[in-house]
Amino acid sequence: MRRLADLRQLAVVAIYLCLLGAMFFVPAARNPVVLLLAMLFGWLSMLVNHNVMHLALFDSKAANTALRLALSFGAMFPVSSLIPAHNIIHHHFGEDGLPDWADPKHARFKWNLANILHFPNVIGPITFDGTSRWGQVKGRAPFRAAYGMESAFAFGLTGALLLWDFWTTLCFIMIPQLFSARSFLRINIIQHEGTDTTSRYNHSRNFVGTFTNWLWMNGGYHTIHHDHPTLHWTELKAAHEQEVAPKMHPSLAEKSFGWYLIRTYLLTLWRPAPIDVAAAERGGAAPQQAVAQELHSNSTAAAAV
Amino acid sequence: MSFQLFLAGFLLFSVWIVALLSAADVLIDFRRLGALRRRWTPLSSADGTGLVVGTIVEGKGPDGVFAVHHLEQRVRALDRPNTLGFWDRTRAAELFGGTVSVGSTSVKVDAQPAQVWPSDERQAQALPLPATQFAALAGDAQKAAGALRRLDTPLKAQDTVYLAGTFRNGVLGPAPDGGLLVSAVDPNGWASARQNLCLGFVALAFGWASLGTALAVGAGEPWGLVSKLGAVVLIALFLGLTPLCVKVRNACKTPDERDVGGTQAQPTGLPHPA
Repeated sequence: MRRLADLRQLAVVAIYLCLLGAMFFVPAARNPVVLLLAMLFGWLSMLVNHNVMHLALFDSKAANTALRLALSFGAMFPVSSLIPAHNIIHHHFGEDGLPDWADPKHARFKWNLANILHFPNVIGPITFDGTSRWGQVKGRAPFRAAYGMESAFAFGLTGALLLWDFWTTLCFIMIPQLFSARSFLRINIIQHEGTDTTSRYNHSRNFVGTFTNWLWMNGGYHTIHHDHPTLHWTELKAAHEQEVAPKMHPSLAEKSFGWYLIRTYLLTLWRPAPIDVAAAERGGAAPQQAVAQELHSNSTAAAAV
Repeated sequence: MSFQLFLAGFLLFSVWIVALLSAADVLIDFRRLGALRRRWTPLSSADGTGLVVGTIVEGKGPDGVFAVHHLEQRVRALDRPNTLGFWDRTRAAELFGGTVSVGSTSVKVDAQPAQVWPSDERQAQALPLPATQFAALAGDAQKAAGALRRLDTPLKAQDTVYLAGTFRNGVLGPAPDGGLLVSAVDPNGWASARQNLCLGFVALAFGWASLGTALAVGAGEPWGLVSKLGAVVLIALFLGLTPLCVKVRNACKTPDERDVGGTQAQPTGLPHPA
């Protein structure tokens, strides 16, 4: 293992797989508490998945392959698809002049709750189609081999479990798998809806709460991750505070992930109109400065009245 | 009620949500296409705002071209022997103008901004690179950045053309909302066929979900073989309906925006690229 801190990432995946195994083999474990824990660790293992696709966990190729197989089973999709879909297309916010496969605009309802519910239904197929085309290019045989092996493992093992014990697999294995994969797709709309992907500092929404980032292994600091994709997760917080926080629009720093979801998708009926989050950046002033100036001019105007 | 029964109910609910959202998504296109059909009302003669069909008599562009649709594509070598793949990039259109015969009258069209819809057939004919261009691009296509090619689909003299805009004194101009369309395909017929596709998808989604639900929770032993069969039908819907939804969305893109892509094996008689 390259860094000792990554034991935590390995533990997350191990706990998730143990929870799935417990529910499958031990009837007493098929209860709401274990299922909810499995879903939580399924989501966390997707954050690990994201991290290890940018920065491999091990020096050993075999160990990295084994981890990818485990992650692929955990979310029932070949995780190597992240290489084109996330590392290349998403980090460039587009595919050679065409939209990012995970562009929030792929969801097009006025009702905002429908957008977040439906988003994985649209970007999932777009991603698989794009990945398949991307993999056909000359020189990408190793990618195709890894993708094929992960697909066979993820779908093969799930299929075998379905044959062994259909209903237990459906309810206690596939629900966490699908929850993990679909949450992972949904995070794209959460982190980029209403941002300006052409901007230097305002292309992403950040979740800056202490507990969220402790749980997510600093996965809330998304702007700095986009700017430095291979920066280790333990270094994201300091880099965010130094490079991003002073320059980003304050509305793109959310303290609470849960409150953001409630506010945006339950309490707001229609899709919010975009605000120009990069206006201050174009004007040359730091956003906090611009907001302070705006408040000052408003109060001056009010005093004059 | 057992926890497993609750979860099975939750899964059934989730599958129906996916079916409903996919149907609602496709109905967005259905409504857009309906608006497009209402916008371009067929005219009996070239007078007023609407749609006419005619034959191009003369084009003022290079080689007598009346209008052309451009699609820039990235060209990359594929991991198949001497085969190139094409990835769509930007699209553009040019209306050079000319004369179109509409019934017994003729309509003068000046060069101006317009939407140009190419026909699928002609675009497919134009897709394969001529042998010399294939050879010229094959080298760069091996590099990481690939090569670029432009796929031009022209409308020329003797072609049937659909014109939509405002006709005044035998001259075509934009409609009051600024729209002007030059199309090689009947816009209303095209939109109508796509609307039928959308309705077919909605029927499929609800039929599929209903069949799976009936099998999963209908007659038969609870958790029995028929119930399992129903669950399999619903899993297939969960995994299979959404790619179909995306295919229908793509099929509803207007002909100037549609996905083209494509691949091409090396034309015979050329030396193999290095």
